[in-house]
Amino acid sequence: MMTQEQPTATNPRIEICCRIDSSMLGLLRDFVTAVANYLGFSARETSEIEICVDEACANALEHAYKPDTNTLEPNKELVIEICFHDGELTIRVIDHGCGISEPQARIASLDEYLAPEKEKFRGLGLYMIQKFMDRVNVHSEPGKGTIVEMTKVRR
Amino acid sequence: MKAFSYEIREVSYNDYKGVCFVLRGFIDAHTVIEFEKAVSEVMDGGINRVVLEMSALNYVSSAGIGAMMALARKLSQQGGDLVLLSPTQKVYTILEGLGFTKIFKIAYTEKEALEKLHLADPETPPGQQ
Repeated sequence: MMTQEQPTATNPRIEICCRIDSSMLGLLRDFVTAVANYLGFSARETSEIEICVDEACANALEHAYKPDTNTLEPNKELVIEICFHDGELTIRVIDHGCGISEPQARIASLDEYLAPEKEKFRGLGLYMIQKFMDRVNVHSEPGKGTIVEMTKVRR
Repeated sequence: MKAFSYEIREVSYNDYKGVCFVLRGFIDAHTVIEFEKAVSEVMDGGINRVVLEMSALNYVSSAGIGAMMALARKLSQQGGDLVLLSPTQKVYTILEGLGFTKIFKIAYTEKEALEKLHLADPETPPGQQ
């Protein structure tokens, strides 16, 4: 849960509600990078936060709003909540798309990803998020959408 | 700045030929299509040794890494190889954090890249490798 404490410049709580397509991922990355820099995360931590948010948003764009689902949202609305408290940055990427069952099972291992018979290499996004963030929770319900909640501790 | 652009130039050593893609901008879920199209066109021309010059590539997402993995595997199946040349510290850090620096061949000079492609090894002339 996001903290309900009054936000300040050093303790911000930001919510972005956007209708996007993949061409806007760069803009979202730049914004998240600026926030992480402002909050004093190292260059390495900032890069890791940037790529994890990008992966969560790209996953939502690719999987949540498939044209063959009944939950099609033509404008692909995403909500990104950013909350910083006690040295921990928590980011939630929320979509209202088709949702998935057993989201944790979608996290491939690197061995699966690199399987010798593979010609296409997909599905690294959630693995990356698990690898680079300190805590990750994926909540998803078929027909209702998905929330990827990830927390990075500033060191 | 354009999100993604590239130039292609030939690299060669004696009878061996390869290509170097000089990449700029970023490869993410949006721009990866352009990258895949570019490498596919070159491979259709029979090239199986590729260098990706990455000093001006400031970001690669999982889509880009996946495209590079697919390229490396395809080149390998055709008896060729792929070398990443001069990735930025930021890109290297991501690749390293995921374990891909042990999977991709990485070089920091063109000569080193060509050596890793077996395109430039004065001690081993072509035909004797």
